[in-house]
Amino acid sequence: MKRPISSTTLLVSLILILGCTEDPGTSINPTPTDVIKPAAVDPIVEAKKAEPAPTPVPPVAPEVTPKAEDPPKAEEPKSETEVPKAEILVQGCDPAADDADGVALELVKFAEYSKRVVNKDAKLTMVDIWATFCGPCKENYPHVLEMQKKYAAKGLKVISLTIDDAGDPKAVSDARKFLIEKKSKITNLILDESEDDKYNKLDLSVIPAVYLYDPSGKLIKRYTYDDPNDQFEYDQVEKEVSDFLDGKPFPAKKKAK
Amino acid sequence: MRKMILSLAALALVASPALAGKYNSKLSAGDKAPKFTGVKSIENGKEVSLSLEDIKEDVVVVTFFANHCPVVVACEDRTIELASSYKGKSVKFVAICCTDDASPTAKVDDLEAIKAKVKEKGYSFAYGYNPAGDIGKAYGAKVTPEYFVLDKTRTVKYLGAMDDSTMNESGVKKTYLKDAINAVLAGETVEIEETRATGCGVQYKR
Repeated sequence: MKRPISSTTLLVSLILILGCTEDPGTSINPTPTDVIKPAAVDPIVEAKKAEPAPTPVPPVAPEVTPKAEDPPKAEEPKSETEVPKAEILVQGCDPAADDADGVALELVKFAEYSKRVVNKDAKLTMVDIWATFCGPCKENYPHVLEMQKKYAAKGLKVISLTIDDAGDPKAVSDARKFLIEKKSKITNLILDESEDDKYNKLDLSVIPAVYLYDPSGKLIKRYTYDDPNDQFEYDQVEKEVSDFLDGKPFPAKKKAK
Repeated sequence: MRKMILSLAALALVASPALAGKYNSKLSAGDKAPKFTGVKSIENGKEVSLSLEDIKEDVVVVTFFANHCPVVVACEDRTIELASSYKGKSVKFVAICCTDDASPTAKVDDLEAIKAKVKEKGYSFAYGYNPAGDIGKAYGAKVTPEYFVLDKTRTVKYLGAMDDSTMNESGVKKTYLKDAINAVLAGETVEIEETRATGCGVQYKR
């Protein structure tokens, strides 16, 4: 996240460090219509759209290639009263500070992530691990949000965790755009670790992946593509999560290989 | 006592191929590489049939690719460059794509797309399509890109990622694949035999 630090940024950072309580201002909150301007269309996404998806999902929005004159709004302080939004992406601050249409994306280290999966009030915390470079993740994301709606009352808490490069402003901006577009009004986290550390600390090789944690933050179930002969599907996650919330145990692990 | 140790050692030898690697659910370094035959591939613009046993080079690098995968895109040029850097040496790269032909990305991953890709990028090696996915499954490949280095006896000497920063070349500090190829070429021990390959999940036929 190396970028020139303006005096505004410094001032705002100071305020944030002092307590994260200042009203960040609302004048430059991007709205979905604001940020989703299809400037260039990813040919692959287009090709994918041409094919019927295996499960009916809402159409994937064309990828946006930021134009030179259209930098992420977050980093464009226009006056002394406006806040460079990206600087608010610091852990510990009010998530609402980065709010855009009720959607916030928080930058967290792995240690902070480990605290976020401790949810004494929830029976089960489900983390959907995704990234903007992952097609199947984006296709299935609506299903993840739907699960939060369907099962929150039964004790499910859903968190999204993107492993997009937190040091790349474009990647962060694209991740935010996606979350805003999907109206992802859940806890949205982005992991601030090196590429190697990210995967190693999460014990992850491939996304999408879904991790389930008990109220104490203990990882109790992983859904992954780790075994080529047993790649998970989100329908399976939903079924097992639903059963678990109804008091049924998770099915015994299929015999490997 | 000595007999017992010996028999234990023998048992370990017999048992080892069945043990998966640290990250790979099928193979570990030291295992015999699964054979593949008759893979429809594109090499030098022409359709060829790719078989492991037809390869004469001392070192074979088998990599699992998929055109649609942004992680492959991020290290494709590096891979082509690396392959070209062994020109004149006894190293052969082959790429195989195991995307299910019923997958939404098949259009960009299939043999026709591979043909276009090979031409566009100037691939110096064969790139094949295995929609049945049996080759990838035999290698335990779960992501693209994932690399396997085989020696002259077609024993797996390295498996995993190309380097420690697949998505972002500027972050590369450890060149696992290159180091492994060089070690095998020089007849030396490969220092790091297995790493975690990260990338796009292979869209296998279900």
